[in-house]
Amino acid sequence: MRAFCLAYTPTLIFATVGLIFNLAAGWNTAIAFGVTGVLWALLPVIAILREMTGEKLGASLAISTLCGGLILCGWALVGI
Amino acid sequence: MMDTTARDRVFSGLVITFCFAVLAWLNGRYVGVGGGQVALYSLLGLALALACLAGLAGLVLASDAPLRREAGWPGALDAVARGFLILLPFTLLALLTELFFGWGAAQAFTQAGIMTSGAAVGAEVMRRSGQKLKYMVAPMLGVFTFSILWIAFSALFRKVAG
Repeated sequence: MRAFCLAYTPTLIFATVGLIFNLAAGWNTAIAFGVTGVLWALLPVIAILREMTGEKLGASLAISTLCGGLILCGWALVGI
Repeated sequence: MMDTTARDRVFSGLVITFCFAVLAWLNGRYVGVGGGQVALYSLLGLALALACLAGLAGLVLASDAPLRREAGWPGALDAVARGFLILLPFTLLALLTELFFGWGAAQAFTQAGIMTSGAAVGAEVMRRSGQKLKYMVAPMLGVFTFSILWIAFSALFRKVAG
């Protein structure tokens, strides 16, 4: 669980930087910074899933796509 | 009859070709005007991607003596193919956001996908060549160049076709 949460560190960094640019410069950063952050989290998530599934790349790709899809759908629902 | 490794290689190649074809098409919808330009951009983008992958495999082979000695060109191609399979989630998520949400972020998905896949190629090469970090450098430089070439190609196409 801890490894999975830590995998989203890039998302946190991109979101924080995006928030700063949004508040300070008025840029529309939700997609440019937010989506990029979510995408950069995919590699560590896939690596963790490969460990958890015993190096099954296909299963790891399917689950990581589902995880990424759920986050982006949630994002779309809350208002981008 | 093909053996398992050859079958895996063909399957990986088809998946990667599909991914780049879809990403090129999604990008082409913003770069080109009209169906003809979008189709031309998609074809040229796919050709550029496949050429860059072949170049990346060559770079990996040239920079990695253990891989060159033990597995040769098929080993380098395998490492690149296994690394770039990571592009599949990026492609499916790009389709989701473009076709259902209309976010216009295809270029961000493509760039992040290429760089992330490059890191995966580096990890694969490291795994095969004794876990030394130096073998990560060539794949990362290769995908960085690939990424810049893709951006330059898009800008050039927009300028010429525009």
